[in-house]
Amino acid sequence: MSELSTETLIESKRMAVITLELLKRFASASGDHNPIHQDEAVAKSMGLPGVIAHGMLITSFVHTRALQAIKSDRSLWGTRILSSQTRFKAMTFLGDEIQVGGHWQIASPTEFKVVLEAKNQRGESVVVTSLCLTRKN
Amino acid sequence: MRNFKSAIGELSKNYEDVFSEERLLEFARVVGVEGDSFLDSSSIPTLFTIFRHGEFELMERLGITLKEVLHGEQEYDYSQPIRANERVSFRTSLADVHEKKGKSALLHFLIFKTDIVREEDGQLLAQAKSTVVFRELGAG
Repeated sequence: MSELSTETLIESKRMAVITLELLKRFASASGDHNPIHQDEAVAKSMGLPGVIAHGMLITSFVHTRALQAIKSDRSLWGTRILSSQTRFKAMTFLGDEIQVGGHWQIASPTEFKVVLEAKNQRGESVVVTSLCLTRKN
Repeated sequence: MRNFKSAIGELSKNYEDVFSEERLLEFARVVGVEGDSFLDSSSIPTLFTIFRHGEFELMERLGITLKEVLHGEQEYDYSQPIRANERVSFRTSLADVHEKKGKSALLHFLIFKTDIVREEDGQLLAQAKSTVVFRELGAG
């Protein structure tokens, strides 16, 4: 843990390209069948430019990235997520490429936080999540 | 102008579900988690998003259709992961409502809270807090 500092970054990594097939699979897996995530005509009728991705799909990629970072650093093994807070900042459209990176914030040897951001290929922030974590001694 | 404040405190019915390992595995695959076996949800924490039936039920009761809402914020407090083939129950309450004027619509922020409990011993697994934004067009 001593090697982690607030300067320690979680390298940005490409997590997915958003396709209609992916959104349909997430709708089935999650039970969120809101048609604005699947049907272009419905999305447009609601004033959206087109089908948008489920916020929770992007949030899931953010969590996946955090867990990859934990797994790849032996000093973080045994870390458990206590809570998460996510803000949806912008919409994600079909064809968008999602990258996730972040940085650690250390409160004590056993309690720490990580803030992660999902960005699209235009560099716009779409989802920001902060995770509170704990590690057994 | 719509007003949802009188519905604060409304409860959904109690839902029950069981998660097979296959369902955990499919969720994990979709969200990019590698592995070919999942005994619990610890490596796929957003799995708790599958417990939104109560939110959808309460919105329907308020006369809101799903296509009219966007997800604004989501919080989870994770106590324990869900194990495969475990029976859980969950219920949602409308915890709060507030409004804000947007550019072309009046935005209603609906705050839902859901407790997810393990049936076997009544242990709380997680608490979810969702902020859903209903856009009332023409009322901005």
